[in-house]
Amino acid sequence: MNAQTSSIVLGLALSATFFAILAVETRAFVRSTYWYVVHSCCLILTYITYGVATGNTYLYIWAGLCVVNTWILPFLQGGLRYTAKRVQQEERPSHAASLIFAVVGVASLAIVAWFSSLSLTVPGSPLDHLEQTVSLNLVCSLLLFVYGIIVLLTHRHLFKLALGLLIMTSGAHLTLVQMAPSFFSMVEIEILTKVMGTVFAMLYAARLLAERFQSADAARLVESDRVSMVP
Amino acid sequence: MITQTSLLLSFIPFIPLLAALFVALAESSQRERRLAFLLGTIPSLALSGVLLWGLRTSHAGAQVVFVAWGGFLYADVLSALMLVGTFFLVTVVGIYSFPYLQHDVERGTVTDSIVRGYYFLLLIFCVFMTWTVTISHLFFMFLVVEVATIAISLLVATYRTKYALIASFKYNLLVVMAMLFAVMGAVFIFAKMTATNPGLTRIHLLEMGRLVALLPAPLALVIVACFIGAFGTKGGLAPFHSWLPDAHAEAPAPISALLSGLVITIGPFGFARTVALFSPSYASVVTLVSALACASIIVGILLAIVQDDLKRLLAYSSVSQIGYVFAGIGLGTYLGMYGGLFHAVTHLLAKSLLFFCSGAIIYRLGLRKISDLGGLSRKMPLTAFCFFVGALSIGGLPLLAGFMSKYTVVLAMARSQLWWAMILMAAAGLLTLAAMVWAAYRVFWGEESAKVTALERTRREMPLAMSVPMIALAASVVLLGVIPQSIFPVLDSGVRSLLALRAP
Repeated sequence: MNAQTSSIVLGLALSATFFAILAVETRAFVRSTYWYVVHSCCLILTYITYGVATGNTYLYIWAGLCVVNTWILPFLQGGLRYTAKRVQQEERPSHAASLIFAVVGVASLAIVAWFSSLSLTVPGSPLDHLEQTVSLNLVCSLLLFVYGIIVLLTHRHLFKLALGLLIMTSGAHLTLVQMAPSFFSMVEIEILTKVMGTVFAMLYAARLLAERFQSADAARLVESDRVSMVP
Repeated sequence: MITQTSLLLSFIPFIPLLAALFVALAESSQRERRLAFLLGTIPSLALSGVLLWGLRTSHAGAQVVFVAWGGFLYADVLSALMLVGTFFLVTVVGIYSFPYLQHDVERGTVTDSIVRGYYFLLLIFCVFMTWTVTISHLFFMFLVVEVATIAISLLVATYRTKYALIASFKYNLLVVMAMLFAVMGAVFIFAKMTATNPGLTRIHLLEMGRLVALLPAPLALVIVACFIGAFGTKGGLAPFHSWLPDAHAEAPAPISALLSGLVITIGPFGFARTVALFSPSYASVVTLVSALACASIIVGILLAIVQDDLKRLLAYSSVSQIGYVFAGIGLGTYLGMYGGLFHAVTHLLAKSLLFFCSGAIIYRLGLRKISDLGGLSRKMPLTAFCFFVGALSIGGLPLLAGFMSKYTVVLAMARSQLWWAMILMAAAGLLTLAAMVWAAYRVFWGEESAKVTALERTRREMPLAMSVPMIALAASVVLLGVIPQSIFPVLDSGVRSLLALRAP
């Protein structure tokens, strides 16, 4: 892959990360879903760019299947239209984690860029053995994966948790594209299963909770019981 | 290693699949659904037994594996043992569920369509569990584990209560997140291997041992950490156990039995297929796994002691007991693996029995809190007897199944010079015995609560379909305790099949 394609991929991966942060930090769910769709579109473009650059046709199929990823959240959100009125916004957002992540992420990219420019690798690091594949793109993919974990750790709203899992999945797949280019055929099935199966099951539970208990915030749901127990 | 093609391997999952389709799609009565369920599980159990028998008897002395679909599916003795365990427990759970869910329908806690979905999901779980233990590709193994997780998470949410839905969501989220770590681990292996072998397109489990021996130590430790996180979460090992108590407490009692007896065993199974292969080459892996397992054993039992909810107490006890299984398998020695597998079997029997007993109490009284119970032994003598058998086995009392398996793991620790782990395990064993006996005493001999006093003693304390599985499990626990050597040939072959996966 030449330097120009690599820069395009980096740009797309950074955009995907940026839109993931926007999706998480937007309180209104419908808008948050739209940002997630934009994030998924960036991923589709990344796969296509990789496919063109490497001549790997599997990546086109993968990009095609990622369209499912793009539509699943809005599809489920549409089903929520009437409950969305009651649980339209995340009740207690926290921007601190995303802010810290953004700062640390930019710092990591800068450090890796500096090391790359000096043609150095970190001695003793596990990544030593992957020096040929360590690049800014890979760091960006790993950052996306880590951001998914951060979302899972810092948010209590069930829709945001599902979003965190989807972001983590995106990070894992972007890493896979760069580190294991002949592994693709199996991943297509995985994408479809995860998105269609797991996220559907999770959002189904979240939707039932929102419909029956007027909230999809796990902390609030548990708290409401504690309050009602006080005489 | 000798490979033989076996039609059985590809045939087994289609039996529960057909039954599942019948349950889901056909206009059927309750009786027909139950019959379809039994037709989906009992023949599969028999065929799994045939598979296990075939693996044990063919080519004595050499390791034999059965393959199908051009090597995509493969089964060694461990896979066959897991299959037998799966179909045995699912059959027992299904039979127990017949009156249990009927009672729930009568109380209005579940609807008929939910019951239909329940049996459908149990059968689908069987299908994907079969593939989990027989698929030869590492990546596809993660995939089918995820699908089996979806089925179980929906079963956890059977009652559609607030906490059941949250528990289901949490279980799904954590396990899938954990599997993503496993995927990352597989990607690291794959990336390293494709550097030297560009034509590689998959990681075959039979080749894993050879591949891991070639990995550089720092990268190997990163991969091990990913796999420990993944299979530790699936197995409910502390500190990755947070899904386990909620899911066990909120699920119907038969599903809690399935979770504790079988679902968490997928963790050690995956662990045996991946992390245990690193143990011979990387000594630090053994120390890390032993430390984590001991932490799980201690934390689990300490948290169990303070619980007032009977099902939660049993769930935390599972966190503790699964630590013994992980410790034994992670040790990587013959004795350790034997002890780990043996404890997985004894735990499956005893913990399922205990959850069935808690289900019997819920069935008659609708109560789960230990402080609300007491003096039940006079009203429910069979449940009291079975509970004591299970509790004492989990506590590791001699002449019951749990004693010999725990003793084997502790002995394996001593043989590997891990004295600190041995002492911690022995101390936790005593705590477990105290905790289980104390819980049993409070439930069955403590002061009678008003609800228990109001309960009339009937000639038959629960329907036959509930008591027969309990008696069968209690009998197995006693039998394995008195004649532990009866299971030796199967476990011995299972351990040898695991050892054969390692690099020569």
